[in-house]
Amino acid sequence: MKEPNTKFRYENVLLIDDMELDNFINKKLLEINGFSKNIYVNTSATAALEFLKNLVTISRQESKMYPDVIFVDINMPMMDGFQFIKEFKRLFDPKIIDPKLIVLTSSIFQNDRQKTLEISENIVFLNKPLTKEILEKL
Amino acid sequence: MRHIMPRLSLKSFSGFLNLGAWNAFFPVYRRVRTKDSVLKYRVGLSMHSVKQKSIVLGFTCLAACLAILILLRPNLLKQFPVLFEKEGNSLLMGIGISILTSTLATILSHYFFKILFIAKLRRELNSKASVETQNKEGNFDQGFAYCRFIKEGDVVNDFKFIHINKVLNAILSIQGAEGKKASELFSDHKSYLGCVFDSIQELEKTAQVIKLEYKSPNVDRWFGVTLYSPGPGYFCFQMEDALVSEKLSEQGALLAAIINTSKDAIFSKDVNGLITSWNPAAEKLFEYTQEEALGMPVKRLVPENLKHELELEESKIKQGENITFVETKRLTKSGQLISVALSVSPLTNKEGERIGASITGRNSTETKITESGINKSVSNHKAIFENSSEAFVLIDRNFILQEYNTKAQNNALLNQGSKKLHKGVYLIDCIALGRREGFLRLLERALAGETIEHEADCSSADENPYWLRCSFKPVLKNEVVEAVFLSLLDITKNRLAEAKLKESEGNLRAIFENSSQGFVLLDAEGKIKAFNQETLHLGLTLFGTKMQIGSPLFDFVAPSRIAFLNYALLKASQGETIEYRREFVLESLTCIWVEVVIRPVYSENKVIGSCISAIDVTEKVINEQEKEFDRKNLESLINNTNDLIFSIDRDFKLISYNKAFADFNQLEIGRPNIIGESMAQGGLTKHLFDTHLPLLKRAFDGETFTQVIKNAGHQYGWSEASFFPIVQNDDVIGTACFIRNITERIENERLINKNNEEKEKLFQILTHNVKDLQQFAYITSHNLRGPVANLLGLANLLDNYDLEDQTLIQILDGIKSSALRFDETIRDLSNILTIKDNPSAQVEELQFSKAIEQAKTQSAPLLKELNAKIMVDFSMTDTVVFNRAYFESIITNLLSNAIKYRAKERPLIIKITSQITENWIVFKFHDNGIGMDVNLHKEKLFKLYQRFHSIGEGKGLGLFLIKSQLETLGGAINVESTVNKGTEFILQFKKY
Repeated sequence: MKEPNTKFRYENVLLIDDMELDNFINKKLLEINGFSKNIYVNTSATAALEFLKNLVTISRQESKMYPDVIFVDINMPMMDGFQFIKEFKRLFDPKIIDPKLIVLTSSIFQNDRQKTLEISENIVFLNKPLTKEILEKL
Repeated sequence: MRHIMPRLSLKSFSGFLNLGAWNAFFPVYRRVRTKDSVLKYRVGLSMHSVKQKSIVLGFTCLAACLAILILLRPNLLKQFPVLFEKEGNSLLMGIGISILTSTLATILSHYFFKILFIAKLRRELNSKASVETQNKEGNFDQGFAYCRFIKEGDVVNDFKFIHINKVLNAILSIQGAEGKKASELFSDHKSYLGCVFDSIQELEKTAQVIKLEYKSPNVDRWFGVTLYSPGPGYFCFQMEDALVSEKLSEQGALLAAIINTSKDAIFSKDVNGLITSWNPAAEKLFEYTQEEALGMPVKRLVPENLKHELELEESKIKQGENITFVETKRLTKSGQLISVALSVSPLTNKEGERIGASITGRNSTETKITESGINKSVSNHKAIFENSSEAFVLIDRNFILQEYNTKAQNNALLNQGSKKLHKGVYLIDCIALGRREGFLRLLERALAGETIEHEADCSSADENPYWLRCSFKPVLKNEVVEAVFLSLLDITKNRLAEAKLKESEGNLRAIFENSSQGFVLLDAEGKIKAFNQETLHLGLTLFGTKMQIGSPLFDFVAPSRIAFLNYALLKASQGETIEYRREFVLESLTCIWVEVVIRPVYSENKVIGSCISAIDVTEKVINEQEKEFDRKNLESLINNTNDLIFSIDRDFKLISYNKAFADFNQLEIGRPNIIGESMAQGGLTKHLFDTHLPLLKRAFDGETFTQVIKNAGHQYGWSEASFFPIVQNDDVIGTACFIRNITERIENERLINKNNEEKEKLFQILTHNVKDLQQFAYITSHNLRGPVANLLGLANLLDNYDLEDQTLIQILDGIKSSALRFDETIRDLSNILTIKDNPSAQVEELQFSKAIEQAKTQSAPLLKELNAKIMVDFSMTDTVVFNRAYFESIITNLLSNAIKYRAKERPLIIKITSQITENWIVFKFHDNGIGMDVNLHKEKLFKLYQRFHSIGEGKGLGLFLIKSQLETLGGAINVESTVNKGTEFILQFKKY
């Protein structure tokens, strides 16, 4: 195994995906490439929102706990990725918590890309699988 | 003078021809001159001398008897004692015998002279038998016959010719007519004789002169017939060529008018010195009336002491000399001596035979005026001179003004010159410079002895019309022109009136000429007096003849039309108006309809001709025919339709119906309908009537509507009934009904509706299926994509671990490349699905150069590795309007294609250019790769999953994708390729 990169680009990353395998792959890649110090993983959008709410409540002004990047899948049961983003934007003040939102999906339909851009132009749309080259650009 | 025909009055003829004693003492002596080539009656001789002679004879006998009585002595009378007891009685008896004898002698002599006269008449007639029947001009001379009435009871039923001349023989075509009855001679044309008999009966009763017209069957022309009765039991039959008689009577009337209106006394005498004509002026001068003067010896006018003048006159006349205005004296009836100037000229007949003399007399008493008379006359003349409406000027030979009147002083012509009008002035000086020359010329002509009447336009510069009638009269003294008398009369008003009249006449003429109707004016004989342009045109079109004024109309119409036209003209001459319409078929076989109206033309309540107007009514007739045709068409349409058409009144009584209705009801009620029968009472089946009653009521309320009615169990299962109320004076008086059997239609419609419903269902199922399929494809690709992404992700992770077993590495590489191909396929499929699902992709302006740069960047490592060269030329155009994603995909695909099918033995060279054509932006992508046989593969080239090379990882989806993307946005793709040389893709983008 190659040496993981110890120079982290971000403090905290949140991965939201209902598929365990996906989460495993993504987490491993992030770790191997030294993308961030901490990686939070949630298997549903609602759970992720709960987690974030708690995080904000507990940590209070401790902003170093907040995720700098959130990777979210689109196709999830209960609440999909778009709903999560909308809900996130509604619930959290960007002055307190303003992570880079990345839609990470296996969907290759133009429609999904279009929808993402419609919510906000700042959201990054990425197709699975993540690669080293892609991560380097983030 | 030889054509003068005295009016043949009954009186004159009864005077000279009646041989009965009843008017023996009527003092008539008259010379009647008919046309001398035929018969010359010097009948005066006969009658007067017969009477005179018989009277003279009678009195001679009386005188002889008295002488005998005296010679035989009174004693002789005593031998008759019974009768004459007294001596005086014998004398009485002698006188009685004398009277008896003289009367007897008178009567005897009368008959004797009558026989003599008739003998003379017969001789004269016979002597004329050799006269030509026609004269040099081709006209007939006068025909004459002397006839006797033949009576049966009181009615004249025939007549007998006593004398007939050769001319009449020729005209009537009868020979040896004398002594024969008319009924024997004219048995072959009784119709005309019938007419003659009517006239002859009338003549016998009224003794008036009767004029007839006769068309001789053997000489094709009209003759004027004059019938007159010279005395009871006889009549004369005189026939004249109508042409000649007209001319003669015209000329005669003219000459008679001249003579009658002359102020000079004009009369004539025959060789015996008896007066033969006497004009009104003669009546005035000599105080004898015409009646008195005719037959009177001229001698009576001559005073006793001047009788020798007559002898001198006679001798001169006999030598054919004229006597011009000899001053002499004559006696009037009242015995007054008057001064007259007489001029005498000899009269001769056609043969040059002297027949007498004409005498013109003028009273010269007036010229013999007294001194006081002169003064009076001068002052009278002066007054006339001054007060005349004419301007008078008298100038001498040197044009020096001698006299002028007030009018002259005010006359514009005479006051335009340099000098004013006064005595002694040179007249020319008084006239405007411009007019002097013409005026002088006229004056000079007058000085040469000519009398000039001249009308001149003397309008001055102010342009007011001013017309003068100038008359220049030379004044003679001893046959030398001593002065010129000028009279000027302002006739401007007359001229203007004339001009106006001319204008209105011209206007009428213009209307006449320009009328679209043809007009022809005919005289009484059917000759053309006038016609207009349209007539000329019509005549040319219809008969091919060109009309001419003066010729009979019959000359210009088709021979077949003459009889009818003749009849129409005859009717018009009787005052009727004839209208008719006729079809003419021309040589070109085109038909022309002409409407003709023939009207009589009146003048002073007499028909003097006729006016024919003709108009081409072909168009009108054709229109009428077309209307009739349309009406018939409509009728046949109504009767041939299967729809029931009928109309009923408010009492449901049938007004009219068509054949379909009749057929329908034949089936329904078993008998045909009758107009007028009630639909409520058996005209329709009760059921049908009840069904339609509410609808009929609606129609009677004035509603026009159409309703579909269901008639269960009837041959008209479904019917469509339309109602059209019949309105008269705002009241609905009934309705027209149209009923159509629509059972079949309704059933068809139902069938169609059912089919449509099924189709709709099918369509829905199809749509649903398509959607399902789309969804399926979507889900499939989506759900497949997840695991593929995972496979790829896992493979990527493996790169971070050191693997030693080479087989394991190979297995892993295989898994990785398979996953990659799998991913690519899914991506392509999803792309195609997206394109198909979204036919109206958003377009924007894109740059070729940028897209190429981007693609180059993406594949930069590979391109570098292959040492590939990309050359671009977008100098023609760099921009294109297209969907960005599609465009990028196209470029990427083309580039990857070029790389994939490159020729291994040479470095890849790609040339990209752009062009603008009329409708397209053309993008050419050329490589130097392995190429392909286009002809072999062209059809398959752009189809889904076609591959032409076994090389590399090609999957055949790229070109299909490009084609789909281009075609979705109205573009196209083509390819040219040569094996082992290269391939060129030609892309056409729609030009905006």
